Amino acid sequence: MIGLLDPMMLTARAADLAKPEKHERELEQDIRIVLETCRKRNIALVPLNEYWEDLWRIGVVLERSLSRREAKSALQELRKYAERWRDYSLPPLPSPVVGVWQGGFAQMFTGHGLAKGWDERMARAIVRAVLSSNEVVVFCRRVSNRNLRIHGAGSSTLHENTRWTLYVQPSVPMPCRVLCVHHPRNLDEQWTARFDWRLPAASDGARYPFCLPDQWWKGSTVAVRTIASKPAWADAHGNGWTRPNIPNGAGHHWDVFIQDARARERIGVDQINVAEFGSSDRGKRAGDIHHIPTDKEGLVNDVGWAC
Amino acid sequence: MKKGKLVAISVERFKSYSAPTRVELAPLTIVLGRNNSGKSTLIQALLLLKQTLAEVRPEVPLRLDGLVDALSLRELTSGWPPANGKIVGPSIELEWESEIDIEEAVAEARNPDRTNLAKHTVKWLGAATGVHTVRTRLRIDTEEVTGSARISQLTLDAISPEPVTVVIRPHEEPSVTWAGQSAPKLVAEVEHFIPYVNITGGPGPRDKQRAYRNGFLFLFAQPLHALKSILSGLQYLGSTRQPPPSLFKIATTAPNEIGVSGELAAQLLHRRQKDLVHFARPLQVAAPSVPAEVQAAPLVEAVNETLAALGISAPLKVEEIQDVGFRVLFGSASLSHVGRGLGYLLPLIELGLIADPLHFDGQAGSMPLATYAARCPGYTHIALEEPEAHLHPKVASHLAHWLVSLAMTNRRLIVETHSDHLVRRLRGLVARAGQGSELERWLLDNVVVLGVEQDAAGLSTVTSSHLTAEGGVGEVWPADFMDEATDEESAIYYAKLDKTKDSGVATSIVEWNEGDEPEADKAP
Repeated sequence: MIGLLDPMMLTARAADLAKPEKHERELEQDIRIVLETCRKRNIALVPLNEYWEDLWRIGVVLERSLSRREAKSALQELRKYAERWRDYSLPPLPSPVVGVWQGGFAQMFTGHGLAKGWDERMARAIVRAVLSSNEVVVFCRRVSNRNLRIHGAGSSTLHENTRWTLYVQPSVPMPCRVLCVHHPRNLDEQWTARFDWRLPAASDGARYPFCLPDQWWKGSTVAVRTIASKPAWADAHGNGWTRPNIPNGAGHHWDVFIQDARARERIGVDQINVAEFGSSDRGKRAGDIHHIPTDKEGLVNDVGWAC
Repeated sequence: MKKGKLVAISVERFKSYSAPTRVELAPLTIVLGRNNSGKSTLIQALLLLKQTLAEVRPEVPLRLDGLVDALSLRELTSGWPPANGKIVGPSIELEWESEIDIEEAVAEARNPDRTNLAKHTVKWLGAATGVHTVRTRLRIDTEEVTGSARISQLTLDAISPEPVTVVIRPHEEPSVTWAGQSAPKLVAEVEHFIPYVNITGGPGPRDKQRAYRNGFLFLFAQPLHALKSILSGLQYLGSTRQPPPSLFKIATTAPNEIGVSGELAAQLLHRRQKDLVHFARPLQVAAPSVPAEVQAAPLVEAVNETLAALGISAPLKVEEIQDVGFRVLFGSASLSHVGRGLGYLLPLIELGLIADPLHFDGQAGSMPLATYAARCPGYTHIALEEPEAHLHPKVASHLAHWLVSLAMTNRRLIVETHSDHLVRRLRGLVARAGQGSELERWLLDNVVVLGVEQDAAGLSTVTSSHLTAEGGVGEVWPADFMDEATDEESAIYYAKLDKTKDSGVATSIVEWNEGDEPEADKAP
């Protein structure tokens, strides 16, 4: 598998804002995810000429703006990791480059502080990687109003990823989907590139998994609805999965509003709290009942559901 | 020696440390900082006390000639104040853990009234038996009066298990105060800076002041003895070495120490070459872990094993030259003709080995680490300055493995270093240690990194940090340390980019497909 980096990963991160440390910690976290994912899966972060050197012309500005030693180290490690793949052999790029759907590239690589031409650079790099017959992913930074829409109601917020795939078809029989990755789980459960990676999956052994809507990968499939006045991920049963109304996203569970009448009857209540994937709450498996509020004790039948 | 270990040192008005500055000491304490920032001063405070204890005249409060050399107490006082009638001098405070053997204390105090003792001192002494671990603090306040240095006040704190403070003023209306209560019948004698308390006037066994005196014997006499052992036994190796001769004279008796410049290393090696030292081999490079066993081997064998683990392949041997002396050879080259790095490294290795609290005792073989720790009568404290001097970066990195192994085997080290490689490897060890592993826990708990900085006014401050599981340095990243190499790498990289602006990478034209994206009906 070949990985490429979103140039937004290295754009200066709001260095003029009041809390540079917060942005630097976010950068460290983003890079940690890239490196962790690459190392665990042996992903070749190939420094392709089509974009790599221009990427680091952005990176130099970022690196010089950083105050945290850890952030600088993270950036240096990222570069060092990619340099290991310097000799990775890839076929040359055809001219002209065809079969690149503009929509996704325009959304991801134009504007938002990126200089002109990044859509073309990324198109060339991705096509070259795809032509090597490897699976290709792009490690993306989530930026509001670019590939991220943040819904909120009180302290319940939902981060909707609005770009999870790029499409190219350069002299290969079928269009290629290039996944936009923002979390290691995106590679195990590709749907989490669109939906929240903390949603429990059937493959986690969840008693209450998030059942994927039909054709979840299509933009026309509705992913987010308003349920109980809160933004919610809509599952195949029509249930709404919302974040608890707790400041700073704490809670480690999903408030699941059960819309299906038969499911409500079976379970005994119309809302359950389900442990999230990756929960740090001890003893909670993803997709189990996280807790039962006092006023609902005795009502809940913990029968689970299947997708 | 009771199992004494230094756990903290504080200084105030001592050289560049004007404000009260306290640093915790761990089994492995790494001191970082720029040149002339005040790194060595912390070690010097200990050396000053050590050299004072070696002075034969007990009335000398601080000996100002020796490793720490000063014209007067004022020279050691922050700002080097001008001569005046009375100058408040430096304060040094030591905090240590040691054991109290209650039966020994009972005998020393001649079977005191324990009820009275508990009533007037600390409750736990009423029924205590056996051996107790306690934490104690001694603060030494000094002054210079008409050109003479003296102790102005000694403050002893029993910190745990139950706090109590004793204040001793040896001059100008000498007094002893127990927990704020004046004790006029108590008289203090001070040997250098170590106080002893006697009682005068023969108060009865239930007298409060009798209880104070007995309380002193119970709570402080043994810990103070342990402190003397700690300081007297402190091993120090500086960053310079004397050029070795080709041929050494045989020492008439084996040296006790390696010498501050390693000048006694050869003689010690010669005299003790067949004597056993206990050591854990340096942590393995490939898969580091807490050593399960401690080896006991003759000194020369142990030196060779350690050198090999550090990547030095030339075997060491001691060759007698009849009626003349001996030579120390690495392979077939004498010590004076091997690389300077080896000459610097040998005393360091020897020091680590002979600092074994069980040195020259026991039988060859191995024993579990826990057994070794239980058998050790205490800890040896070691202060090292720039142990990486003249070492190849790889050996300097491996030195971190050796230092950790030493610190795991009852040696407590204070290491002043400028070595990026050494510190980076320490960070690498903790990062590579398995999550939650014994090694990770040990490193997180037992390595402290002190960052020393000096401000524009020449005053030093210290920040203390632990390593993090991810290989970082916890609370405060030492200023300007560990940045240079990586930042230079970045600078080289970016400079290279500047030179390749017109690298001529062929840019193919992109012909965009502006239609709807080909979302397949089949799941990815």
